[in-house]
Amino acid sequence: MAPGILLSTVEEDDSRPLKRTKLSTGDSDAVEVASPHPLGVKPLGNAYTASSNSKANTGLFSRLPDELLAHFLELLNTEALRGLGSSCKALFAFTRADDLWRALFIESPPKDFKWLGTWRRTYLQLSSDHEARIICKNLFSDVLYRPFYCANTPLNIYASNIPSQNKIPRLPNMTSEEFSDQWSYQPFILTSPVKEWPIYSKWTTESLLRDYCNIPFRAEAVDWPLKTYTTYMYNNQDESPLYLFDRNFVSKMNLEVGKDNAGAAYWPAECFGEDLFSVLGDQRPDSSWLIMGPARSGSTFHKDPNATSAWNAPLTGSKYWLMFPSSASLPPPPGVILSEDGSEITSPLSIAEYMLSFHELARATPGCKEGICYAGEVLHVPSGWFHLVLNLEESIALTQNFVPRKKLSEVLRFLRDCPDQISGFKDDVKDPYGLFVERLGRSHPEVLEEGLKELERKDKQGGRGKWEELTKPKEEEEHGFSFGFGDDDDNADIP
Amino acid sequence: MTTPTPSLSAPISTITLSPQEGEERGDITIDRDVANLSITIRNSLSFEDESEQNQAIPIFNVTGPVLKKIIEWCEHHRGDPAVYDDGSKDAGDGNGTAMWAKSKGADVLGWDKKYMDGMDRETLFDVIMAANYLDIKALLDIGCKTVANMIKGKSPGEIRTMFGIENDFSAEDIEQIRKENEWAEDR
Repeated sequence: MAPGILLSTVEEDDSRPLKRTKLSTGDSDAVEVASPHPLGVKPLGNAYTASSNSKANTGLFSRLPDELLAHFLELLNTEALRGLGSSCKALFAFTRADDLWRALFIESPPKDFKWLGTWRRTYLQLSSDHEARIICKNLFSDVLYRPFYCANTPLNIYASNIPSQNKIPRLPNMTSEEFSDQWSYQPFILTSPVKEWPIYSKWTTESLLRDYCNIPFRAEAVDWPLKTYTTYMYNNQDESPLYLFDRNFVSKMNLEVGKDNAGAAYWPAECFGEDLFSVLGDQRPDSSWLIMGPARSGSTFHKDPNATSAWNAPLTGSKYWLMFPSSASLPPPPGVILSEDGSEITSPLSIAEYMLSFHELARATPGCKEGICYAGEVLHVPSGWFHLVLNLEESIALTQNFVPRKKLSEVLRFLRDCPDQISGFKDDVKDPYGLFVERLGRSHPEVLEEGLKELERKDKQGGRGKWEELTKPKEEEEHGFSFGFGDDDDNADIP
Repeated sequence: MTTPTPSLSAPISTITLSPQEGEERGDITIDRDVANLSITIRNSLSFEDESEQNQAIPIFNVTGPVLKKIIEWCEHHRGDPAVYDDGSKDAGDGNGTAMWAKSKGADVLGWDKKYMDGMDRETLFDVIMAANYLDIKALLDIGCKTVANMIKGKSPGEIRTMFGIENDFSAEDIEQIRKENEWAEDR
């Protein structure tokens, strides 16, 4: 649903036309969304000047804060949601929240279905003509309004006016020596290599639909035939649109990969050099993905698995990247909270929420890198970098994770020290670190030796290795001094 | 005199809570392991230094009787490892829709069922809200499930009566809903 230009003229109780509703969250420059919420719900702040709030009609439920009511509704099945939703207007609106129906859909997908524009209509196989349309006057709720606002607020503005010091460098190409010597630790965009791929300028959403329309592709928690996914892509109202991310596309689409292969579809740019995980053969973790998604889809802040580096090449569309380096001594990006061992990342649920709340601060934070990668270009994500990606328009892309020589010690350290965070290996690989070291030792002994030496050097450096982090008292990090253990001469002030 | 070293002092074994709502404001003292079922209380304890740990913790938004009802549940469940879980195991399906883990565990049974059935509906909602405020996920979960079970199989009219909901639909609205239900009958 694109934001409308015209003001709506839905009448309120006293027959004044509806004003543009400003989101009352304290964002001083909050962008106004001109079209009203489909059920007429308004932000919570508007309640203060209203004559009544229809949540008051919900009996015992009126005492629950909206977040708690929404949480409660997640426990109900279709029948219960329908029953409760038929009792009064406010509960009608709350039980229509599309997130509830997305969860129900994913929990038990209907066997044969057509995508019908929203998760609720799709789960119930209800066309929009048959869906009840009731305006819930005087319902004020941020829990209901915010997702609608986030799904419609313009996002592409955040990709404009990138300060020059933040700009990710753009180069036509580079040699593998240049990559190894100077660029393994930096993000950059190359503008030529992908343009030589046979699939560049051949692959479009239409061409893929023509050739693969019934093949199922993985999109987050569902496997859908491509034609179903594209129908979704062209007609959804989601704040965080479902993203197609398939790791088996090469075999599904019968592709050949590699510059030396006849009929190859694509090949990694030469500058990235050899991917050291290839010594693992079939036992290597997942490494290549086909990505497809509508404008507004993308990924919130994360780091790539197993401390690998990655390249990402859009074949159509364009992507905005927001990136930050990470290390044990650097704080995470604004708005990103790390769990104590750094294994889990908590950040606002949607890209829109992140942009609304944190983009300005992120852009001003030292270390921030931003750029737009266009169709036919490829972006390098150095291992360990936090990144957020937003599709500025509908986009098809390929991405691959790899271990470049310069990053071997990082990968070895991760596999050795964070075994519970390793991902993408098949279940029968019980000791990824051991296996990797063994295989590398056989095929690339000098490279392994170099990597292990570098790892040892880092361990000894007493910088912030994981072991250091685990054993160092927390207080020392925060206050710059340590609690003594009964030292009589300690006159330090207790904070 | 040596500098106090908080990490070496013995933890206090009882906690005093002071409900801040309603008329019955008497302090309630409970064992620490019972109090620890509430993440809210656990967190406020971790911020205090030794000199504050003997003071009562104010509990806002909860009346004395409701707090006692909560404590009754906590005392029964003390030591049960499942209820100390802070619920951080999410469905992890990548959609990021639910803020809390959606509990698909067993239905409300046994002692918990008796505990819930023994309450009138007003108190049940009070307990749900208090469990939410005090962040006792297991209790919140069974409270919500109890209400969910009350709704299942009931008509909209019965649901309204049960929870004191006011019907603010127009005749036209009701007709639209009825038609939609007919169309969606199969699900």
